[in-house]
Order: sequence, then structure tokens, then C-alpha cells
Amino acid sequence: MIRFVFSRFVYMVLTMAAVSVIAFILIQLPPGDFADSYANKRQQAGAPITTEELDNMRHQLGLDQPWHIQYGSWVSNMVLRGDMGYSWEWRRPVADVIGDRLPLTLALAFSTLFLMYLIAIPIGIYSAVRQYSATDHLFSTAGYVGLATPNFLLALILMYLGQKWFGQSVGGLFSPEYQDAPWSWGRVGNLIEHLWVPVIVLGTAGTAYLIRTVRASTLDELDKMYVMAARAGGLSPMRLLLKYPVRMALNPIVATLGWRLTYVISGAPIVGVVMSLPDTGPLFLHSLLNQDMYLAGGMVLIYCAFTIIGTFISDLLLILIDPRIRMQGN
Amino acid sequence: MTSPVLAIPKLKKSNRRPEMATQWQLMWWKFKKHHMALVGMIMLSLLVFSAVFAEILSPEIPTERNNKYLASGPMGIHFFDSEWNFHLRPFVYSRSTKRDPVTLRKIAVVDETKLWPIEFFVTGSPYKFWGLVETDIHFFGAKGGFVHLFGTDSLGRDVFSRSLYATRISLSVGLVGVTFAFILGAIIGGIAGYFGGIIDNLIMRLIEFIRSIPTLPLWLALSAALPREWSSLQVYLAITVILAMIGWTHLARTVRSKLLALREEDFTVAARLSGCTDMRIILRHLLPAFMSYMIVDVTIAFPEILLAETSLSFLGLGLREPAESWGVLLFAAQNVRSISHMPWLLIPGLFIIVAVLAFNFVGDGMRDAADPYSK
Amino acid sequence: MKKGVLLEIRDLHITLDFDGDDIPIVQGIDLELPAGKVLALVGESGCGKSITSQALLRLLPREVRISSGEINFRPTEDQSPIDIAPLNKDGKEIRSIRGNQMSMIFQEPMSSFSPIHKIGDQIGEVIQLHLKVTKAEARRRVIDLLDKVGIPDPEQAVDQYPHSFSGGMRQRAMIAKSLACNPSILIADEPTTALDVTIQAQILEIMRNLKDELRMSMIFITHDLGVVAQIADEVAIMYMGRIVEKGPVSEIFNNPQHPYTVSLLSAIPRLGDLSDRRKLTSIRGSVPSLFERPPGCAFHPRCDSFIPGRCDTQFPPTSQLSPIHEVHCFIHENTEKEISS
Ligand SMILES: Nc1ncnc2c1ncn2[C@@H]1O[C@H](COP(=O)(O)OP(=O)(O)O)[C@@H](O)[C@H]1O
Ligand SMILES: [Mg+2]
Repeated sequence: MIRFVFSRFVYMVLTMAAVSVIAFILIQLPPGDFADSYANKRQQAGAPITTEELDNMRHQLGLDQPWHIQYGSWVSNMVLRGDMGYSWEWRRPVADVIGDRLPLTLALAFSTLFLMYLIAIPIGIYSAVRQYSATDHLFSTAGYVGLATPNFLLALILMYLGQKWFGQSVGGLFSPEYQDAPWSWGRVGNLIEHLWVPVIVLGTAGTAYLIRTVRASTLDELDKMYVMAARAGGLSPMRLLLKYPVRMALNPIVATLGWRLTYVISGAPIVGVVMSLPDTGPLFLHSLLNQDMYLAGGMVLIYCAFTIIGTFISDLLLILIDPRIRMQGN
Repeated sequence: MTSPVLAIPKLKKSNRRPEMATQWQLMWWKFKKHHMALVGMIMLSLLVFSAVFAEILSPEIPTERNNKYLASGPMGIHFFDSEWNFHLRPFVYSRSTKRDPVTLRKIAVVDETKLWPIEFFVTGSPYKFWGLVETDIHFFGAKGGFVHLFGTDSLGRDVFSRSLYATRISLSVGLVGVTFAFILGAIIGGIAGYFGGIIDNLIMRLIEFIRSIPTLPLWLALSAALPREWSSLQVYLAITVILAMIGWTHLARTVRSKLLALREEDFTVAARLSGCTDMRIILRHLLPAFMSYMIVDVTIAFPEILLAETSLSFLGLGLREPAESWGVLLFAAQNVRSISHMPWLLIPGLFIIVAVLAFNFVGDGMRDAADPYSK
Repeated sequence: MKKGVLLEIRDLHITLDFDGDDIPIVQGIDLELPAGKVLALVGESGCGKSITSQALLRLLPREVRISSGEINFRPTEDQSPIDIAPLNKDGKEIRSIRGNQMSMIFQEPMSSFSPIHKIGDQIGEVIQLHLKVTKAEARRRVIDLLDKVGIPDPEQAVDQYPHSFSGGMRQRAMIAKSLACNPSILIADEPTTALDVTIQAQILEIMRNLKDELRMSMIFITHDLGVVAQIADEVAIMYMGRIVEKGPVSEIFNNPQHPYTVSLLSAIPRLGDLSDRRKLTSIRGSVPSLFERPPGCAFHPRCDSFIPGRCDTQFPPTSQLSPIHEVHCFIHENTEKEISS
């Protein structure tokens, strides 16, 4: 068990390292560097910068160093001082810009994840137990459509309907009076009132997928020999169902928690953009469109970090619920 | 629970013995049992048909602007006129232009006194079919006027025609993307499965890694890094390559595991014992078993790529005008204001849903069929 | 119901619902299990033995159902029998029988326990369900049972998970579970098939001893006549959902009358065989699928004594060779008449 935890931990660290390299490459990808774009802006402003000044600036910023040194200092600044670079677009440190908006992204991602499981598990189990019933067919049809609708399209449709029925925009996460207010219980309540639309948008496809997974793994378990053996002991159907197949089917569900988180995080930016939420989505898109690469790279890194940590946590949870893994190596 | 049961009655009905049925036949029987898969097949065929014949099927060419019908809604096709007279030839009501007294903008209004009959194989704007054959025949059109089945966008372009053209581009992005993914997956999975050992291990780690990071932000970032001055063809190719990176991992896994399993499988041994040459073993036995799994994975990868392309283009980071894909069309519907004025701009979204649905249905049918002897 | 009989199966039919078609699996079998005896149900794999045994406890898979017949059961001779066949599939009555008065052991010891629950909990659950005992008492009883079936260090074994048990140990645990409430009938569906030969012998030994000790009756299912000799009192030979021959074990072994029984017998290696150099024969062909059931006597395509126009048109009626020996085969059509006349 200790070995399992250790190996997963090492894997997590290695993945983080790999992701940071990718983020760094992304930052370096657009032609030209920070100094170039600075020179460009100065040029446009009518105060061109001299070559000497430019070289000076490069030297100060370390842009004349070979890439692995630059990477090293980028990473060490980040790890040691929480410094993720400077956002040209916002004229503020990347960490501050992201820090402002990250909590909302996380609130959105985790409430979506939570609701997805809350809805999908009972429906999946019910569909498995009543396989081929009308309800089962209904849910699987709905699931197909849910899976086939891209998030942003669903967002557009909901926004259109909201406009049509309520005559108001369902975008955003706060009513105007709370928009810039400091945090308070009222603001939290207001947030929750607004959160459900993006949660639906972000969670529909994932829920549909999860229902399928739960249904399939429950069906799988229902066919197992030990279920018949337990029935032969005289258990009532309901107790049997909850105690054995459902409990067993939870394992693959927990094991894929990390993936689901990846999926939700992956979809978050686009939903944020479409519904103009004050979260990291629009921030990310604008940084990409303007090639504000330290910010973009930082965002990619953060998005990845959450899923990697999520995967690690789901591995740990799996130890809790599955004795077979707990016993490994004993 | 028991395996051979399902395939057998089918065999009996067509009076065949199992040993005479080839792998492909068994798969087809199994596939046919899956009604949704057949429905999916039909939907796909329709989409492919309209992609192939987009120019002919559309009443207009997609760049054409209709100044008399700007930003206006779908025109209904009728058989009965306002006095309930039946017309054998369907028609649309004519439209006339007026100025809005307040905004002073030109708006189109329905004029029920005049009918524009729908005719088939009419002459219209000239175009080159697939860029080769010059012609001006359109499958249908309204005599004396125009017909916009899905309405027009703010420039007066026909949404129906543009959707058909976009179907061609979107499906082709999917097709090219899947082909790239297929090649990539087959090579990488093949290397892993063939060499095994440490190389296999490394590749599997890589796949696990790719699958554990949120891909969409990564692809967004990659496409944002494409040089702005690239032509739309270059962007098109670059985007398909980027999208192919989404799909290859599944395929690689399948290739690898099948390769590993097939090497050991009984029927290879049996075939070898009975004196088949290697080539014959591969063609007669390995390939069908192998291909069926690959096809399943392709039907899974295809919609993934479609959805990703749509999302990228929708955000303005994928294909851009003048290239037209479903995502590009939806780009126009990006904000609440435009969709509340022109909800018909969302219609291209239906094409996406239908396409992905069709692929998922077919994919499910294929999955069952790939294992003709499974449950 | 006859005196001394605890379980009586009458004209039992079981069908598979296949996309709306009823495909017969079991076609009218009659069996009796006398108190304290072991009845062996023998046949090749796919003959419907498991389905028959599952029907007795109403454990059939969803797509399979009892279409007609009676299953009369009484836990002791002085109780009045109830018919299990029409009971509600998962209702109270049948649940109070399962694991309590009649229990079952399955072929796959590796998968008959849930891998994520402790062995002790899975056995204790049955005890707490049927007997009015506390958790501690149930645990005590589990430890006793584990000890009885020969699991070393039972105090520790109760708290272990199935994956730390070997196949043989799991099968012992399964026996312990089935004995938990002192059932009057134990149904064992190929309990030794998945095990090594040496372990097989141990398990058989345990079952035989416990059966005597607890005065149970047993239905023992197997495809191996060799095992039958070691444990059974009565034998019923089954082929494609029908009993083709039945009688006491000595009678069947020394005086087999159905060609199928004869071929099954010639397929077991015996010590004596080595000396007389008789070749071990296996039966020609294999059991056809349910969908290709041959007409008449289903065995006729594989039978050496096949009578064309007879065996392939009609299932042979019962020939009562002696009061205790019964066979369904046209080669004995006249034998019975001789006896009766
Ligand atoms: N759930 C099921 N679905 C379809 N066919 C089944 C099912 N269970 C058993 N069968 C069929 O019923 C027949 C008898 O099976 P079974 O009782 O398991 O045989 P045995 O135990 O004698 O080996 C076999 O032909 C098997 O294929
Ligand atoms: Mg069996």
C-alpha cells in the first residue's frame, strides 16, 4: 500500500514536470519574445527603442540565456516565490491575475463534478436494474443527445431560451448589484443562484457519459457469480443490490474521478467564454488571442495541475474503498 | 452469460453453418440487429451525400449576399396558400422590402399575395462543382424570387447553403484528422506492440500522460500559436494535425493490445499448424479481427475530432472565414444579442448534433459487431 | 409426496426467452431426493444441470424461467411440502428457504465471494439473516464453521478478504457459508470441477463427512462420473434438458443401459483399465447448442445404436427396467414389456 501511494506520488511529480515543460514550450512558441513585443509597442507609440536598450532589457530579463536556463529560472521562480511571470496584457504578475479568477473556476468545476456524480450514480444504477425498461431507454436516448451536444451549443441554446422566457441574460455569475461587491453571504447566495446554468452546460455531457459508465459497470457486476451466491444466501434484492454490485461498481467510478475532473476542467474555459463568466475562461481565451503567453502558459499549467492532483486524490480514494489495492505488496 | 447463443439463430435463418460465415458476415448480421446503428448509418449517408453534392443541393452559393433579405428568418415551404387552396407544386410566399420607420433599416416583409413556386433543377448562380466542372444548375430554387430555408445571416448569405458547404469542410476535417490519428496511432501502437518491453512501457506511459491532462486548453493554446499570416489551407492542415493528436491515443492502445494478444491467440497457432503462410494468416485471420476493432475506434475518434474542431473554430482559434465549417458558422452566433435576433443562426449546430449522434450510434453497433460472439 | 422424500421435481420445464422466442432448455424432468441421500446429476457441460439446480432455489437468470412443473420441498419429513415453482422469484417465502433450509455451492470458488468484503462478514450475513443471533454470536459461529471445514487459523481467517484465499480455501469457505444455517438440502453445482485433483479429493472428503455429521441430503452436480462413485447414492444422467437414465449408483455403474451412460462411463479412467489396456474413449461429437436441438432423442446423432425413423422422430418413453432403474431409450422398448408381462 505504501508502495502504491509512493509510486502514484512519484508519477504525479513526474507528470507535473512534464506539463511544466509543455507550458514552457507554449510560452516560447510564438515567434519573437517579450522584448520584441515591447519594442513593437514602443515603435507604435512613436518612441522607438534602441538596439542597445533592447539588448540590455533582454539581458536583464534573462532572455539571452539558453532555453534550459530560462526554463529553470521560470520553474524555480514559480516554485520558490509563486512568481509565474508577467502579463503584458494586464500589466500585472500572472499569479495575481489568475488568483483573482481561479476561485470561481474551481467553484464551477467542483460543483459540476459533485452534481454529475449525484445525478448519474442513482440513474445509472436504476437503468441497470431496470435494463431495457422505458425509463432505461429514455435515459439512454437523452444521454446520446447530451453526449452529442457541444457545451458551447448547449450554452447558446440555454441563453437563447433564457432570453426568450425570462427576458434577461442568463450569462454571468452575479446580478449587477453583486458584480463588484466584496464577498458576503448574500454574494455567495447570488453566486449559487447563477451557477446552475453553467453547471448544466458543463455537466450535461459528462453526466450522460457517467450514467453510461455506472450502468455498464453495474450490469457487469450484476452478472457476476458472487451476486448469485449472495442471492442464494437469502438476501433481499434491495439489500443485495446496495451491498454488492453497487458497492463494487463504485470502484471504477472512483478510479475515473481524475479523468472526469480533467474533462470538466477541459470544458470550463469555453463555457466561461460563451457565458462571459468572470472566471478564468475569458482570461485564457484573451491571453491566447493576444499571445500573452506567460499568462496562457500559466493557465495551461494550472488547469493541468488540478487534474493531476485530482487523479492522485482519486487514486488515494481507491485505496480506501478497494481492499485488493490496499493489500498489494503485503 | 453464454456466448455463442446470439449469433446462431441468424445463421440458421439464412441457412448457413457457422464455419461457412466469414468474420465480416457475422459482424454485419450483428450490426443489423442494432437498429440505432442502422439509423445512424442512414443519417451519416445523408450527411455525406449533402457534403459531396453541396454545390448542387444549395440554392445559392455561400458567398452570395441577398440585399433584399438581410438577417431574416427561415422561409417556410407551403402547399396551401392563405385561402387554403392546394398547390401541387410547393411554394414560398414572396417577400418585399420596406424601411423600418424607426431604425430606417431595410427589412423584408411577407407578401402573401404573390407566390414563388419551388422548381427543381433550376439555373442560378454559376459555380464550379468540386472546383472542376463549371455549371449553374441548382437542385431547387424559387421561380421569380429566392428561397432561404434556414434564413440568412447579417450579410444576407443563405444559411442553408452555407451549412451544406460547411458539412463538406467539417466532415473532411474529421476525415483527414482521423486519418492522421489512425496513421499516428497505428505506427506508435505498432511500435509498442511489436517491440514490447521498455519501449512499450514508455509509450504506454506517454499515452497515460496525454490522457490525464486537460486537452482542450492545450489544443487551444497550440492553435493560438499558429502564425497569423498563414493561408486558410495552411491553417486547415495545421488544425487537422492538432486535432489528430486528440484521437490517436485510443487507436494506439487498441493496435498495441491487439497486436500483443493476436500473437498469442489460438487461431494464429492453429492456422500456422495447418500450414498457412504468414501472409495468409495475416490476411484471412488477423486483419478482419484487427480491422473491426480499429473501425470501432475510428467511430469513436471521429466525433471527438468533429466536436473539437467545432469548438476551436467557434472560439475563433480554428478555421476562419472564408473557410466554412459548422464551428465557423456558429462563430456568428457567439453572443446573446445575435442569437436573440437571429436564432436560426444556431441551425448549423443541429448538423453537429446529428453527425455526432450518428457516429455514436454506428460506433455502438460496431462495438457489438466487432465481437460477433459476445453478448 | 412419497415417504422419506424431501424434494420432488415433477415434469419441470425451463425455457430461455430469446428475443421473444421460447427456447426450451429443460424439457420435463422428474427427480426425487430421499432424506439423507446424495443424488448425483450427471451430464456433459451444456446439458442444463446448472439451470436445473438454479431453478430449485429460483436463482435463474432473468431471461430464463420455469414454464411449467412442480418443485415440492419440505425441510423435514413431518412438515407439509410447498411448491417452489409458482413462488414469487425474490419474495419472502423463497428467501426464507435460501441459505437456510436449502443452500447452494457454485462451481467457481474464485468468483463466488465478493472481493471487497471480508470472508467472515459474507458468511456471518447469512447467519444473521436467518437465525436470531447477535453479531458476536454470528462471528463465533463463523469461526466454528471455518474450523469445521478445515481452514487453518479460523480466528484470523474471518477477517480476511477472499483474494488472500486459494481456490481450495475459498471452496471450503463456500461450504462453510452453505452450512451456516444447518440446511436440510445442499445443492452443489460442480463444486470440485475448478480445483486441482488433490484438492478435489479433500473437498469431497469434507463434504461427505459433513453430510453425515449434519444429516443433510445433497444434490451433487458433476460431469465426471468418477467423482460420482465417491459420493453419490443415486444417479440421474442428463442429456440436453432431459433425464435419460436414473437409478442407484451401483446399478448405473454395473449395469448401464442408455448408450449415453455407457459412453460417459467409458470416458472415466479406472485403475483396472491400465491392465486390460482398454483405450479411454471420448464421446463422438459434442453437445449441440440449444438452437440446434435434434428432434426425437437428442442424443441420436452421436449414438451408435441409432435406429433411423425411430430415434429421430420421438423421445423414447420411460422403460422401467426394475423398480429402481429407469431409462429412456428405444433399444429397451421391449425389455419393459417382458418385465411387466
Ligand atoms: N443466461 C443464459 N442465456 C442463454 N442461454 C443460457 C443461459 N444460461 C444457460 N444457457 C444455456 O442453457 C444450456 C444449459 O446450460 P447449463 O445449465 O449451464 O449447463 P450445464 O450446467 O449442464 O453445463 C446451455 O446450452 C446454455 O448455453
Ligand atoms: Mg454448469
